[in-house]
Amino acid sequence: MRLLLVEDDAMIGEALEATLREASYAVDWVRDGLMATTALKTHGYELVLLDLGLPGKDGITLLRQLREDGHATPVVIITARDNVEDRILGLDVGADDYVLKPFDAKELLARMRAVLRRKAGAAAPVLSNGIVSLDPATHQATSPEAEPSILSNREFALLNALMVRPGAILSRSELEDRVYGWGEEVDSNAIEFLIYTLRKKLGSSAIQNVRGVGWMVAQA
Amino acid sequence: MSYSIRKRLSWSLSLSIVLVATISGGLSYVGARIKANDRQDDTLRQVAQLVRLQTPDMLSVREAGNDDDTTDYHIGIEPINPPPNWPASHEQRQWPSDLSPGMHSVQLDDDNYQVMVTPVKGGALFAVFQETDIRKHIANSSAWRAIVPLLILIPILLLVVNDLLRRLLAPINELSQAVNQRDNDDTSALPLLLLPTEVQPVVLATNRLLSRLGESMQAQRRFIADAAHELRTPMTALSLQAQRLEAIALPADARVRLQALLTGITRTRHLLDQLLNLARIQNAMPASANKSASAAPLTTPVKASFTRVLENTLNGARTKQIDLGVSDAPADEVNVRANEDNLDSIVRNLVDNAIRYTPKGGQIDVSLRIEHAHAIISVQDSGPGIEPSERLRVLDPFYRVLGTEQLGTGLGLAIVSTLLQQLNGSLVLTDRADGGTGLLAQVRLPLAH
Repeated sequence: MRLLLVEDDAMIGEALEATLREASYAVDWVRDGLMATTALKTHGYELVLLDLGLPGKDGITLLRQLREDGHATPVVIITARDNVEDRILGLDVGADDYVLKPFDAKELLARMRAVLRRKAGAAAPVLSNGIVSLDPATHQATSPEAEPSILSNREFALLNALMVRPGAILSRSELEDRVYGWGEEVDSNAIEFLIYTLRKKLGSSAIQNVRGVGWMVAQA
Repeated sequence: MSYSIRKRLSWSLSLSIVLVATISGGLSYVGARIKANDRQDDTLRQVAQLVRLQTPDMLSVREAGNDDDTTDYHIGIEPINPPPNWPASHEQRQWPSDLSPGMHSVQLDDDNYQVMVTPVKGGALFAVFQETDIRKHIANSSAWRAIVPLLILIPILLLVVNDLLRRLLAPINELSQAVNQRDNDDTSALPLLLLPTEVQPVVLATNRLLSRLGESMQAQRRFIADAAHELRTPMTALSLQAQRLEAIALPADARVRLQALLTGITRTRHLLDQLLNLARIQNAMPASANKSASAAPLTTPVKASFTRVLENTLNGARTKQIDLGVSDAPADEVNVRANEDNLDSIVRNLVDNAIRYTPKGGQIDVSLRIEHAHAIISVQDSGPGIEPSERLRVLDPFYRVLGTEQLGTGLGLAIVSTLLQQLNGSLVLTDRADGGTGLLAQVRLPLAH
């Protein structure tokens, strides 16, 4: 998978290029906005990592032109500009994500994967947080602590709600909204019961309780 | 010592007016009286001139009733030594017999008289006289008439002067009120329009000072932004390089050292973030706050903020086997007057601190309740707590309680307390109410309407 890295700082550029190569990406590294424009015209990239403070042409201008020319290539901004205004501007102009320096290499790679996944649409049908995985097509859930099992519709709806964003805490009422339709009668302990059955199928640590707030599945 | 120009001017002008009015009124009064007396003496003399041309007989035929009709002047004519044929009906006063011709003041019984003695035809002396009381009465009333306009005009003058003062000083009052109601960080120029020229130099100088202050605040903010960029870039490179080492097969002791290195880098990154946060908060201008308000609403749900903070801190808590959760909160969502970033930052810093200082296996309770139109957000831990004498000092940047080995930045509580100042909230650090050891941090924030 071929990436364009637009970064003017030599130290960061070198380190990032090496990190990305180690993660099995093909990387083209350019140091200014004008070269980035040329590179984008001549090669097809699956993802652009874009610094904002660039010589030649500012990152925001570059991104705006890219979008005006009709390029849908996913762009992840990597910058030290941490103002809310800058972040909003970057996303509004057409960035797919905004990563603040200094960042964690693992986090950057995870965000790149997420952006690529979103771009591919339903290309990654199986949801996974690294421990539990859930296949929306077959309602099959697997976990290292238990045998693979097929979930009931309600169990699937609940686990699916949690697996969409591992690490996010959902309250009882949020889960009820996701599991039950409008006007359906909900027992006061219905959610607890579903979680109990899910834990029986997937192991007790698959779904974690956060005292006073709700439930979550662990983040990868 | 402070004083009001208006009050001073008002008092001193009023006092001067009253003083001048009293003196001039007194002088006119006295003058008018003297003049009235002189005029009455003249009248006596003129009457005496006429009497001088008469014979005693002619003078005696005056109707007796005339005395009572002449109430305005009360001028009487009597012989000093009444001749035998003088009408007995007349109330004849016993004039001293030794009165010489000319003007005299005479006392008879209890009455005083002004008397002009004059010889008439035939040589007899006659007295043309007027009672002193009547003369005084006439003099007084004409003196009063002289000062009546003054008495009417002085109160009007006082009212006019005070009203004028009020009007003239109104722009200065308005200016000082406008200055008073300003935000601390507002460095925009004060209005010069409609100000008296005497005050304009002061306002101009203040405006110059304000603009210089604004510029230096701006320079400081620019410096922070530049510093952020400059520090973040090498930190990113350093962090990436160190992380690349992780992927390489290393001897066990090298791996231990790498972990220490990575921890140090993480800590530095955190410190850098917190330092820049604090600097940005301290330099937050109302103008920029308004700008971001359009992007992020100035009312934020607290329970949603709890959820976000817990999502970000649970991993750290679980690594230390700390039970972190929400112990008490109203069923309905509660909104406070703060933007999302600031509220999250407050809750996050308190929870981070609690995790840092709570020993393994401890418990941290976050809670929310409503009290007098304020939301009370509490974070209670089972750590060692903070000595009462240290509780104010821990709010200072970089202050850390001695003897703790925790790797905090020393900025968390400073950030919380600075944010709360800007949000009209407050932070109270106390012992736990249930008697257990640990710190109870209570944040008070105004509810959003």
